[in-house]
Amino acid sequence: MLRAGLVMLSILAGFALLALFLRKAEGMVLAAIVAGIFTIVALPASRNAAWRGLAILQAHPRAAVAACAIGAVLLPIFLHNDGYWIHVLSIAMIFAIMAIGLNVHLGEIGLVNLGYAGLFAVGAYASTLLSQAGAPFWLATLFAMTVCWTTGGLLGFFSVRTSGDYFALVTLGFGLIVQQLIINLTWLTQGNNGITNIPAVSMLGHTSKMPIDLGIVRLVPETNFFYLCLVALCGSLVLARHYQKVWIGRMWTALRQDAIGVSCFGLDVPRFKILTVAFGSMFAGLAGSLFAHEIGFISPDDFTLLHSVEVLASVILGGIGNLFGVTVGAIILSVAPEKLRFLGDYRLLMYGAMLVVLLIYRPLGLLPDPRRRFESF
Amino acid sequence: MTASATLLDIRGAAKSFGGVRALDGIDLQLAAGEVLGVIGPNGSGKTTLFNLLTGVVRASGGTVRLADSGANLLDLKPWEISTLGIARTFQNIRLALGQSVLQNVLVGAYRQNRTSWWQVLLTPQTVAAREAQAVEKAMEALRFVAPALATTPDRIVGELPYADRRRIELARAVVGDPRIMLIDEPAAGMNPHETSEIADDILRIAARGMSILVIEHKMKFIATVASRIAVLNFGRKIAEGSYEQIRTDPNVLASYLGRKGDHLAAAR
Repeated sequence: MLRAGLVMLSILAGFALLALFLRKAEGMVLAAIVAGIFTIVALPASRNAAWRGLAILQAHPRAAVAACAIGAVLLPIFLHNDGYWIHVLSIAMIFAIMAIGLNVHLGEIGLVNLGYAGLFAVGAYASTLLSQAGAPFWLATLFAMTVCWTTGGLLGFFSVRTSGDYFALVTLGFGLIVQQLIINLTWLTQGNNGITNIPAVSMLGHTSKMPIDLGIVRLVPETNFFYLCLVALCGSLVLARHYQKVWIGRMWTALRQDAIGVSCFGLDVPRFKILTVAFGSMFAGLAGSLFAHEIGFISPDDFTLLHSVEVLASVILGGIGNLFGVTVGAIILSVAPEKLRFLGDYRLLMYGAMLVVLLIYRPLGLLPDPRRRFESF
Repeated sequence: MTASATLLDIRGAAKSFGGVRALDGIDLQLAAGEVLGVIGPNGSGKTTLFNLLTGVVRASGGTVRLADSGANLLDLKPWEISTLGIARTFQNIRLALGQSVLQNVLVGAYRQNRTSWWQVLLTPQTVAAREAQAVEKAMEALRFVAPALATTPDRIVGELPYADRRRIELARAVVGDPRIMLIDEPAAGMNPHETSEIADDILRIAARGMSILVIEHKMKFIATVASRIAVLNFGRKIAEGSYEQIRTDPNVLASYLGRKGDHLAAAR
């Protein structure tokens, strides 16, 4: 009981420190903190201490999850109502939802999808078009998820005979096709000009443009989307975890390791693969809808190959197959470029170098998936 | 033929890989409840026969029929064949190494316990009940085939020795209650003690009423488990009969030991 309390307190303190780090750490302080983290990872003694700490966390999963939830809810206050960082974190959570979806393709059945931004675009445009026609946000989001599920199913249908490098190429083509379609179907998407004035989300008279007035504090309007994204992220995590825990998750792992083996035990492999690709694509619909409504403006430039690769990188960096890992990976990769702004022109160089160093020392990602111990990826 | 009815009827099963005739028209009948051994030198087409029967490899010709089903098995996909009650093990073990023993055996229980994707989302209780049933069946199969492993179902397969992995494959095939089991080299790489244990396992599985086709190189093993033996060489069946019959068959002796004077012919 006492330990559980300590776990919760330390996690909450972690969130407060994270907020402090985001707002205040700049220049040399930031460099010192990053160097410190690398030292901890490099020195065996401190690394062992860190592992022991993690083990204590894992021994109290309920307390840890509860504290994470409370910490996330309090984060806007920890951030001193700083609209900029609250916005950055909302976008980071949208990327995390995409990473969870891509993880179904890459992590569960080992399909390298280089066109996930294409699905993200389909979701964003589907939601926007319905929303502009007057539909409420929740309906537009459900519609976007359905459209993405169908699109993913079609993508799966046309690529089910391929795997490995060939699936990657098919999806690469898919991403480019979607982008070209958006540019050229101007009657529907307004092409390169993009769609502006996407309506704000409103619920019971409260819209996402209004501040949240809690009496004691007045949270900035960005907080609306922060909480919306938080709910969506938690929902995505629960959904993906739910499917991992039943026969579907078991067959995912078995299929990834040996398609012939599972086909001899009654699994219709092509059908199952199509449904899995569709399921993973559905998350892009949710992310796309949130993204479009949060930014209020979408254009083909938001859905390039670079965005696909960024999602892919967050899955690999966070730990392929580990839901918690890919979430953390996506948040780090979305926040890092913002924190590295002080480097000016060297920003992307440092970003790339960070990725390379991390993957040299942790080839299975920051938080590896225990199911993959005997796999070589 | 024996008095019992033919369960699996293979006629003219053929498979060519380019110019290589891996199977050149095999006729073979498996009777209900019997253990039929399939032997032959390396490359004689034994595993190809199994791959044809389970749909892993597309046949070039021939028919395979079950006693009570009109369909030609050679036209079906692996998962459709599985539905007809045929399960197999693999020569090169095909298990998910990062998963637990139980998780691997559960793969074999997939057919009876699957639910739809919608059910998983909307009726979690039904799904949980099915999962519990599957776990019960898998544990029962484990206790039946590998009692020692059934006490530690959460061990990770990748950490287990080779013989245990073989048993997990057997349990995974048994759990779906198939009518016919195809067992590919169950004793390969095992020491004499483990080999006799596996032989006992197979006899126990047969005693459950399953018909078994088993490939093996170890003659003593085959002599123990099989009531009848078919010998393949170069994709053809060269002999069939009891262990005593094939042991003295001149064709079999020639294929394993070479014909008298062959080495002289080769040297010339």
